[in-house]
Amino acid sequence: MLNLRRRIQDLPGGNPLVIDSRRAWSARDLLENLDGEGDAYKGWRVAIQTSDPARLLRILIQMDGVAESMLLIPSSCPPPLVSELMRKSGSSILMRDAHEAPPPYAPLVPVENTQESPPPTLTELEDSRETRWILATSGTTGTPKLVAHTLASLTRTIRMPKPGIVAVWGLLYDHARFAGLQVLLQSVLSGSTLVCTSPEDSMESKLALLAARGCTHLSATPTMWRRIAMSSDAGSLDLEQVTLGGEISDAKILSILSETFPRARISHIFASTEAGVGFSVTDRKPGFPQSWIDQPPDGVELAVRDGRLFLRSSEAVPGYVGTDQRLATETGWIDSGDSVAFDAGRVIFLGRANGVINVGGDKVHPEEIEALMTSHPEVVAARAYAKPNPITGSLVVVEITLLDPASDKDRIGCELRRLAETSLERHKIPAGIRFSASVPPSESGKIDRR
Amino acid sequence: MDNDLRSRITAVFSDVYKAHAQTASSPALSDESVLMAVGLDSLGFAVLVFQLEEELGYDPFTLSESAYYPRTFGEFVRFYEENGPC
Repeated sequence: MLNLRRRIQDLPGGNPLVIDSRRAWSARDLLENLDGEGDAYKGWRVAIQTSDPARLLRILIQMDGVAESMLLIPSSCPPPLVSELMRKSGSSILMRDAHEAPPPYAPLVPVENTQESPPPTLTELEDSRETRWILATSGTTGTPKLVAHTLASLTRTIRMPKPGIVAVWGLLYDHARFAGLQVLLQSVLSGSTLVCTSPEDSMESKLALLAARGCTHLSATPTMWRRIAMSSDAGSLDLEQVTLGGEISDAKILSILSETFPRARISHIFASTEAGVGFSVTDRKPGFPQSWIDQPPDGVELAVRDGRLFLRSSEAVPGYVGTDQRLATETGWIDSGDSVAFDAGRVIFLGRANGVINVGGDKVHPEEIEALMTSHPEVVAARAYAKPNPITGSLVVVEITLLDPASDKDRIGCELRRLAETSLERHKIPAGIRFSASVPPSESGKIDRR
Repeated sequence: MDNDLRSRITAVFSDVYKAHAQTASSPALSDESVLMAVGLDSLGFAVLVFQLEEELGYDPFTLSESAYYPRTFGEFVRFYEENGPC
């Protein structure tokens, strides 16, 4: 099978593949000085954590087809979690940016050998392998889950631009997460130019850079798109392709984007780190046509059971790493975890079936908020839920039942607010705290999340 | 322009800004101030719209049928004026 190095070597043309605010990289630049270095890691399980997409790409080129697995760790991941993810994936070595941070184009140097999982002995190695690409899902409570893909499974839906057209993709996502990696691979392997933005820049600066570099294709969450649509720089972006993912795309944002970018093809994609890319909807309406259940789009089968969406890919199913939890049923069906409903010939997304709240693409488990609220001695019960919000899709709101209904709600509300602000990440902090007479449980005694 | 509505919106903006930026003061807003450049990110904006709904009793983004997002503070206030209950 063709590894990443071969696929880049085979690309025609010499236009830059990766651009950031400092320099541009052609295919030859990316491949330069990589010969022979990869063999040292034959059969190894490596981990990679870098804030620079071009550097990540060079390591991936070096390791794909050589290493047994490559664990991609987001730059924001703190050291204790890095160690845990490496342990879970059996990774022996971590490639990361040096703290002294020379310009990001210094040669790559492995920094740590954890000795947790010893490297393989020479006799165990075959000559080439289909390297597993291990990605972290965005977990919110405890450790994120790890999912193993391959280059093949990650690039199943790559579309080549029409001959003579050079697409310029903008990267707004984290390159080490599933969505960002999809954009990176789509762009690079179609011979297009990828414009990388810095996470510390404001959205306005990012958009200005994308506009200056002639960005034509952009993928972002609905929350990011709402911000883009409200920005004065939106007019300077002449987009041909608008892609939405990571959150439910509602009719309003699809309509606004049609008007803001009249030349653009608009796709909203259903994808998850577990399922890989699922499918893409291009008719500018939310959800997808009900007819797709019997006549599915390429490579994916769809089914609805108990109001939830299931997918089955025609490819081999990626699996979870480092846990016994099954990703798919025996027949290969993957539970998307999303609740759906039928409405006027379409299947529309309602939200996560388990009540997980999606705040601008960041997931919040209601149980975590409820546990924090009930840790207050005067609170007997709490129910956290999603309140629809036109900017981020949802915000967290919590309904509190007090031990003594006559207590001072203002005071307790203030204390709960302070508790939330000191304990929770920003997107998890409840926007509203309400007090109710009671929180009715469902028949099973558990909170009914539907 | 309805000055009472404008001053209520400005007051809520100030509260939300100070809470998010953890500062004692918030930037002064003029009609021309570009919303996405005043220092609130998407989450801050979401909370602003939420708090305004608590304060004013309605959310024009949800009520309005048109595919429109205000870009400046002046447009924002007008958006609230035009979509408020009669």
